[in-house]
Amino acid sequence: MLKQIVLSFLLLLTTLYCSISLAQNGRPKFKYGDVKESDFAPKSYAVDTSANAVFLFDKGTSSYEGNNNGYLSVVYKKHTRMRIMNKNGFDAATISFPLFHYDDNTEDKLDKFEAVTYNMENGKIIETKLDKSGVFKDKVSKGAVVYKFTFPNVKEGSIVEYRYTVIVPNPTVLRPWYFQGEYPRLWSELDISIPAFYEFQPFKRGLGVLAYDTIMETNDTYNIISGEGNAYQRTTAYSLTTTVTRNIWAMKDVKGLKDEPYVSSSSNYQSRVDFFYTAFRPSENEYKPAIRNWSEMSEKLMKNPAFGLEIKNPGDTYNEDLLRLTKSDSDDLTKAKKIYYYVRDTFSCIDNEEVLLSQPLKKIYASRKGSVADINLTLVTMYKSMGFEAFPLILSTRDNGMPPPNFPRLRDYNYVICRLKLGDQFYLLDASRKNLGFNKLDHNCYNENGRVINDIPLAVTLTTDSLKETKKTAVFLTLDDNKKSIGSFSSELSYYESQAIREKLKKQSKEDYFNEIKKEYPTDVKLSNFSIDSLNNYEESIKMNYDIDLNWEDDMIYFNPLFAEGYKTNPFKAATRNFPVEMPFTSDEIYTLSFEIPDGYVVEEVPKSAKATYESSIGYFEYIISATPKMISLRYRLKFDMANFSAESYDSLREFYDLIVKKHAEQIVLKKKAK
Amino acid sequence: MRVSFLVASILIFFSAPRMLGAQEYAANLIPDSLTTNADYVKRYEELRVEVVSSSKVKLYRKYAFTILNERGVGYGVLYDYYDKFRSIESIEGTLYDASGKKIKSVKKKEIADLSGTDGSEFATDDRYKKHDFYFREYPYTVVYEVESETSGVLSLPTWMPQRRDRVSVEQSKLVVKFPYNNPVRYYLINFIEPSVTSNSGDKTLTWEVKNIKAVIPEEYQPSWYKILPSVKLGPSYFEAQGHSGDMSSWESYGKYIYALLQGRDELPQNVKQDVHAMTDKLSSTSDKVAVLYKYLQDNTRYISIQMGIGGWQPFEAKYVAEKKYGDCKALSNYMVALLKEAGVYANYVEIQSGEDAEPLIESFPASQANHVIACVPNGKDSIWLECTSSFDSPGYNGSFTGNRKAILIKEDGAHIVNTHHYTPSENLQVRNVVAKIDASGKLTASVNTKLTGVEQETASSLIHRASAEEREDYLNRALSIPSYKVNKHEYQEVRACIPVIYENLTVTSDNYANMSNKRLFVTPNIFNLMGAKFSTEKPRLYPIHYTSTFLNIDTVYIDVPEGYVLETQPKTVEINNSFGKYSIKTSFKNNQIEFIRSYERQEKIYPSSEWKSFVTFMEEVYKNDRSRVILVKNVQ
Repeated sequence: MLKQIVLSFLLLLTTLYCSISLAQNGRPKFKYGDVKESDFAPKSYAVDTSANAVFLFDKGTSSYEGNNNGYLSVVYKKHTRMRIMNKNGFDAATISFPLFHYDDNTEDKLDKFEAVTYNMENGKIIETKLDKSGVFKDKVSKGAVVYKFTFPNVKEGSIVEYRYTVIVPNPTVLRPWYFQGEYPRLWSELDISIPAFYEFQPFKRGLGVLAYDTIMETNDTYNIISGEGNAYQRTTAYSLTTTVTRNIWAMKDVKGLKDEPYVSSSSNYQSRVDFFYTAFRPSENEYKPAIRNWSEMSEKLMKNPAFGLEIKNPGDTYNEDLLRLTKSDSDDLTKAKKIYYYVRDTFSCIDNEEVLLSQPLKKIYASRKGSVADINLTLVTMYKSMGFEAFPLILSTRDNGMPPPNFPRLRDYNYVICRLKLGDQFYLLDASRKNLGFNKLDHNCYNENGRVINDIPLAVTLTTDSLKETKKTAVFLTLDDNKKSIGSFSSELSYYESQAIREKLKKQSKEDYFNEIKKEYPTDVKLSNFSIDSLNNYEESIKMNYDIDLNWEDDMIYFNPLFAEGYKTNPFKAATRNFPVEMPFTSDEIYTLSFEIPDGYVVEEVPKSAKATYESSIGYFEYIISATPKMISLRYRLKFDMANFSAESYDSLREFYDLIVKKHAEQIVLKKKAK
Repeated sequence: MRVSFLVASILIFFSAPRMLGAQEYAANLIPDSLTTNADYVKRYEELRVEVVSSSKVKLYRKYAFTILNERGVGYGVLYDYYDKFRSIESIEGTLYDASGKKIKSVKKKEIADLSGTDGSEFATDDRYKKHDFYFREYPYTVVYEVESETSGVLSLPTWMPQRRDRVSVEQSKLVVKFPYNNPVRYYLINFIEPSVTSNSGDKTLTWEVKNIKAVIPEEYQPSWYKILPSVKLGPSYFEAQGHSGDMSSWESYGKYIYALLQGRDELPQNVKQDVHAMTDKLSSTSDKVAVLYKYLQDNTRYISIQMGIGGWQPFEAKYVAEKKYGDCKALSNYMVALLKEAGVYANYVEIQSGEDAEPLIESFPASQANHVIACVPNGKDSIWLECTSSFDSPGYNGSFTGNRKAILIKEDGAHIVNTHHYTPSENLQVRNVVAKIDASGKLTASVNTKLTGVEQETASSLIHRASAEEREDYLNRALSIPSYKVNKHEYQEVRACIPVIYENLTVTSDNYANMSNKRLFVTPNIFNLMGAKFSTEKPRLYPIHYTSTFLNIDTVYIDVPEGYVLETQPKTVEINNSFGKYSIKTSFKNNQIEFIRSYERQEKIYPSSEWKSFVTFMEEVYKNDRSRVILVKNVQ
């Protein structure tokens, strides 16, 4: 392919060259080392007066240059100046950045690097330069070396500045630019110049607004040398001129990115621009598109030896085991389940966020270990060997963030599952998680971006709004033959709550877990006879039972009819909210209490019944209580039909929960009859 | 990379140990008594330590672990670190299935080579090897054999066959071999003396244990290293990167460390000038210390760098003066140098840091520290300086280095000294709450608290480590009451040996009081819910180690709406026993609840026989701290 590029470049020899100076509309210029006394004056910055460190500017420049290998390299420059406001900002003075090593044995090269600390001492600016001994290299993996340094002589109020250049040998890879990060930025700018040979589609996301947005066309010349170091080829030098598109994007006064609870991934809201390589244009007449849509991506994946090619040609690897596992069954669903259980229970999963196979399927099968993709593609292949209709489905999990919907780029995806069709039923299967049931997925997979890899690359939208988590709890307090009050608690948990308890009970005994439950109850309530069902039946929800015994010694009995259930505090603690609220699923909780009043007691007081809805009927809450001299009954229900709420609706959501918390704290009062 | 995988013939040096044959790895051969409560079983383990010379130690470890379940998986993974002093010579391993059938062996390329830098360290040359068979059909058995060599013998491994809970030991063995003229010293914890064999020029010590059942943890138990058997080893003569020493006495150990510090305290001219400008006019030592410590705190920061002998020797004072950063050793050395320049004699002190640190064994001179601080010695009035902190008060040890023994380095050797021991009245929390509940149940409270010593550490971190926004965020999550808001927070600090923080909060909580038609339910202890519930069903095995020392006094006044009379209020409680002192007293008059609470505890170890009464005490606190005032509408 490289040769082709060089040949194509030859066709493009032109001599036109012109330079255009930039129109500077409110775009500040930054010169390395240009730090003035007045830069030390601000005690704080309006963007965030409590910030521990502030980026005075953060600037990235990507452009291209000819290299000695017959093609172009990306020249990525970074130049950053920060102000350290206080001691808590010292962490900002430790910088690390990775350099990559690529599969074709080329690697990023650090070209220039310098860093300096400025302090005001006795009215003078004192510079302390970082010396080379202060830069540490840490080889974190085969493909990456992390460079790390910390600025010398950092004090409260210091200004620190660094810049470096990285030559990236792969012209189709442009680093994304993050306008936003942990610390606020007064100015964050990307200046990117792309020659017409390479076509990219930029993708901006986040909540930030561009303060500067300009596009310019200019011509530029690239000097390329090919054949160097190759004894069989003459060294040739070329000069190629082409149109260059230059974009400058900047944001002003960008706030620091802060995590909030109930967000699938805060990276979804981080202001940034990312680049998707769409085409190679070696000359005016040639256009070699990269993958543009899902059909092409799917087609390419199906031919990829590390993905579809293997699935198509399963060979006889599995035949023996498949026969052994399924010979006694005639029903396809039973067969499919047996194969799923076999893979789930015998393979061990090495977490690895890759969509492609880490090694050939045969090896994976022999070692019974692999990544999520390895295991689930094995499952797909086994089903295919059986003649079942099964396809891989790739997705990006919730914590991995939302990939842009229309750009198929494999590295944005991190998970593969199996989609099986039996009759007219579809099943989604993940055999890489030990305690998932057949046709069950972890809620982390519900990120709205599934894509079936098949001739028709169907989008499968797994939404959290479609996940219904239902929990039913019933408490009975009745009188036994001796008119003594006996109580029982039974609850059928929701699926993901069951999964969490399964996970927990792998680490602790049932007894320890029951002790934890006991701690949730008031001291004078005694629990006993704990039992738990369906612990190892992963398709089902867990059912829990135990006995409850109230303390009947006092003249006045006060107790909460929800006992340990219900909300004790509002899940939305923070008073303000920036991001939308993204719950992992919708929910429906029902709790009922039937309470037979023992002889000698009268009902002194019960809470009032209440009903409330949230935004007409998205959320529904009821607390219906009725009391007769013999009996108190309570029915409580909290139901949400939606899992996602806008940031604007946060306040009303919080208020809705306030009401629930208040209601959940209410007490029943019983009084001993006077004798 | 220095690591080579030689098939070393280290076996020749030792008499052949009894090895399990492959078929003996069958899991069903493990007695039931050893699988009960266990996640993995040490079928066989041998650690051999051979001191070849004062600068070279060979370590050989072979073990067979049977992994019984998912929780045990991590123990079947091989990790071994190496650095400039330590090289891994060979790693071999084999995997067996439940029946004892060999599945496969370790292949060189399956061994990962990883960076040892973790989140807390800036730079280190530690790296480690990792191997995992990724076999998950339980039970299975892994056998590993690792040979490594240490050049520069500063410390020797500790043998602790049962390092934690949920592991049982079928057989484990420690063999220590050394030349007559350079004995390896040992310290026994819950262990017996070794068997000794002698040869012409050397001596071999052997310890062995068999059939130890798995243990399970108990609440408030002492750390496992105090309960379970272990053998600590220490070298006598040793040499590392050209520095030689003798660890057999504190005197000689201290002289070695002292020698490492020699000549590293030179300060640049400008720093010397700073020191004199700040301290020449001061007369008292404590003033000089305070000023110079503040200078250190304002001008340097802590960065962990563990490179080469840097793990033992501090970077020079000049280095810190120039870069304005360093690790605990470098910063402490720099602090001592600053003090020296001002004519104040101070020492470099090695210490085991952290709240649950292993106590120093005074009778066993060896490297027993993970941290360094500085000290201006003066008996009980010594001034301790935590040089990695940018905000601690001079003289403050706190929970990080207080209440323990430390190794003070002087020219004449190491001296074992005591850091400050905190009493309940030094760890105070005195809180005054003036609150009001309105007709809707909303609470508005003004909370004034004086915090001292260890009790002020959280507040101190809030002041110094959190931004205003983080502080507010924390305060608005930290309290256990339903929806609330901290409307105002103010802190005032007094720097002293026993530091003091005054905290001033205004808190509102919309539904703090629960209201029904007729009643008002109020928990008067709004901000200090303590105590805990425990099970007493199982017999207690281990002593009880209560680790906190404090005195809390709460005074709470809550105004409630008019028209209520008292129905129920918390009983007046006064407990004073060996576990602590606890009292509450509540009263209601003129529409006001008054609640007074006092709680005092001291760190102490109690015998296991006292478990039930300990639980009763903790439950009393739990229950009474949560007890409610119930008011009922006065119907006339």
